[in-house]
Amino acid sequence: MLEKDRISYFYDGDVGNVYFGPNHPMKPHRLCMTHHLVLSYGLHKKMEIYRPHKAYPIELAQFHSADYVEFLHRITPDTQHLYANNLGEDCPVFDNLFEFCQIYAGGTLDAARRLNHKTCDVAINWAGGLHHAKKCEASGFCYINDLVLGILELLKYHARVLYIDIDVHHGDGVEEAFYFTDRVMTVSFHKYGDLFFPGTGEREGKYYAINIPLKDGIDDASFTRLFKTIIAKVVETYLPGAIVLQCGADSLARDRLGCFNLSIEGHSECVKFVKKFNIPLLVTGGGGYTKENVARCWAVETGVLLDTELPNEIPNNEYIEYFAPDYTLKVPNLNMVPPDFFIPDFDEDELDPDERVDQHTQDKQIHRDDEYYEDSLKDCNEDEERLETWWIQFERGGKPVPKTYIL
Amino acid sequence: MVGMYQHQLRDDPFGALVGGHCGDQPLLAGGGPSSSSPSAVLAPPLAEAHGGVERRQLSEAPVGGGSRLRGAGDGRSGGAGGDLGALVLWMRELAADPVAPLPAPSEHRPRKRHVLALRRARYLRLEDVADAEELPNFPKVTVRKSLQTCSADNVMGKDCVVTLILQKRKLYWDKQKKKGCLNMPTRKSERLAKRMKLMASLLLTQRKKIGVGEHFQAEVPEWTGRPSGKELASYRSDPEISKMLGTRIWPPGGEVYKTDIVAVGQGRPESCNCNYPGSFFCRQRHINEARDKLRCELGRAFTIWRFDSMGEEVSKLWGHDEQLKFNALERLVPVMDQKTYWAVASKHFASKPRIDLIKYYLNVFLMRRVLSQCRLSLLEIDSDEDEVEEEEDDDQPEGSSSLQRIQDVQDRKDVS
Repeated sequence: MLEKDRISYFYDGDVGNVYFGPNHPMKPHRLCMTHHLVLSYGLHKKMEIYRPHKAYPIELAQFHSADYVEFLHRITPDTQHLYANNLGEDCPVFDNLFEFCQIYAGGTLDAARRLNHKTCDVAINWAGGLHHAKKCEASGFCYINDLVLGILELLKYHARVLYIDIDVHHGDGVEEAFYFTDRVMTVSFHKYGDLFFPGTGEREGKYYAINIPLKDGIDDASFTRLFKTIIAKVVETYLPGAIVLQCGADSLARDRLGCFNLSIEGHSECVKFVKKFNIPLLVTGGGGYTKENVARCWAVETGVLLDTELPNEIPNNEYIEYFAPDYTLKVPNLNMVPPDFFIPDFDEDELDPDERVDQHTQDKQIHRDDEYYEDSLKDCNEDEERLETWWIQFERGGKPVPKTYIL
Repeated sequence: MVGMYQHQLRDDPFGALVGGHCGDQPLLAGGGPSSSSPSAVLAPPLAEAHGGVERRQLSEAPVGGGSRLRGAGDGRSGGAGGDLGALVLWMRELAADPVAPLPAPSEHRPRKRHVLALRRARYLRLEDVADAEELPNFPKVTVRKSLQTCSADNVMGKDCVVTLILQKRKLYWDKQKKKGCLNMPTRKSERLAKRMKLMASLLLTQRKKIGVGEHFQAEVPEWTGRPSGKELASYRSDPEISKMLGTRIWPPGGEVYKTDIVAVGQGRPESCNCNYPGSFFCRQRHINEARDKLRCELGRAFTIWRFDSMGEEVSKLWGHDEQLKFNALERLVPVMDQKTYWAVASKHFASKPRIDLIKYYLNVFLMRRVLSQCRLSLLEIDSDEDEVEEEEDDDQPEGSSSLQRIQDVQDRKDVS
């Protein structure tokens, strides 16, 4: 008997009024716009909405060092602690910073606990997903890594957790935290090159960390094909008990800091795909610096998780003017980033033949990247084969999954 | 999430960040001519380029280190920045008692800037930059040669790195063009890279490698097998855990939500029966109707989610005379940008709590700006309230400010 999925959604009304400061691209107000759009479409009728508790410092210290948590708690814009732990520039100190961290981390923690409790099948926290924060320092607008905390909570009741990251930036904080354990596998699709932040995500992939470094301008067809092939294989081989999906919306076209050409359809296609596995799923937000597109994207994805397709016409709501002039969810494709053409990244002869190279990089040696964009479906079968051989190598070359973990 | 606007953070009305005033020596590496000034102070250790030497200098008695640098700086460093040793001493005092009361702003602000510049330069070492494997698209030979020439010229290493990458790219593109390839505009990530003045040093101060050790990895316990039914039951009934599950806001009370609701996900109706459909008043009316409907439906949740302080409603939370005062000020500045807003707010509404100013800014000020763009029937709303970004390419003006937009529209109207 196929029961409909139960969805838990987390939101705190105070998060929308958090202000990082003038000229800072991170705007929590986008969360307010998202929530408003979700409600205007009436999606609240199909799910349970919770206000998260504010995470206690001791919960944050499950991952972060106690000193760092204490430090975050004590600083204010007026005190002099502006030079420690990477705070003060990208990660400014603003009023109610700690409270903001408690809210978004609390959301992810509550979501993880509810999944553990099996009171829901999918849990959503759009305020979370701040994947750059490290154990003892802030980074890339992230102060507390709610994803790591959520995963640690899930690990209490699941042998293995899979982390998927479709933010345009590499999920370095999460990868680093779980680099040496086989209980968490991290898979990150991101832009790499041109000194794009954070600068990791090409060579670090090892054991249970997979990186898919991409160039500018990747479109829906190429991205979703890569995503589906890789994730299908990962889930089939790794057999996670739970999945955490970071849905950073800066991988969308026309994002202020991003440089991909994904549309909302393409982005939400990935969410749809992960949902189909019917594995307990924790969905979070992440990057996303063009407010109205973030709101559109996450509203559509809330709909996807609720198996509801939203009509294109945006209903009247407080923020409708942001969606002018068309007031639609689907936006015409203007201002697309030109895709990056083939530029040799590496000298083939100098590559260590023993080092396992990610499939995409291997493909680059055979296939110019722009050929993916033009006629991507042509070589589908060929790619499947290549991916299959790579996976066999992975299983042989990588750390074998201990027999006891496989049920 | 990217780190690339340190130079933009120079002017902060909150006075909380490392603010810069135009008059002071801009030690943040912004702009061409001024970027040489930090190098004047700090290049000598870089030219030597060897961590050991630097470290020793910094840890030695202030006099030795300081005078050496002062000598090297040919007077361009100016201001309070010449004395490295004193700076380190000041920082040590600060670290010893971080919550001590602040010294005079005029004294600590330039110090703050110097410390940041020092941090950047300190961690930028030539051999790191010369480690070509770490940087993409970088053939080893070219790097070492060019960087050596760079350091000899006493230019900041990081600028060299940037230039080299871009030069290489440019050479490649030129070659491609000759081969008859399409004339592609520069890629967005390259444009982003060009705009970042502090890119290379950022990359290095942000650890490029994954960290290894107890200060980086999380503690993951071993899996001891699936918890028993009893353990699960006790986990679920633990009152402490129940406090950390979130409070249900919707559906309220004891209602069980239905998953088979038909009328979910309705869009905007095709037509309305207003006198002037599509007009400003029509839209306002529909927004008000939608808000009222939502308020009826949500009940308490409406307030819990702060829907009562969203949008134009926020302006009603301000006192009448406060609103008038603000409107009057707004009229004085034809198109108020966000910088002016904060300047006005901090000057004339200093008594108001910051949260109110923020709410007003996000809900009323920005919304009105968006509305005025709508009224001018612009092709695309630019909700980006931030300052004009200097785009070097001549394709779509994605970064232009509303002022530029208005000008464009007027130009277009004049032409037609």
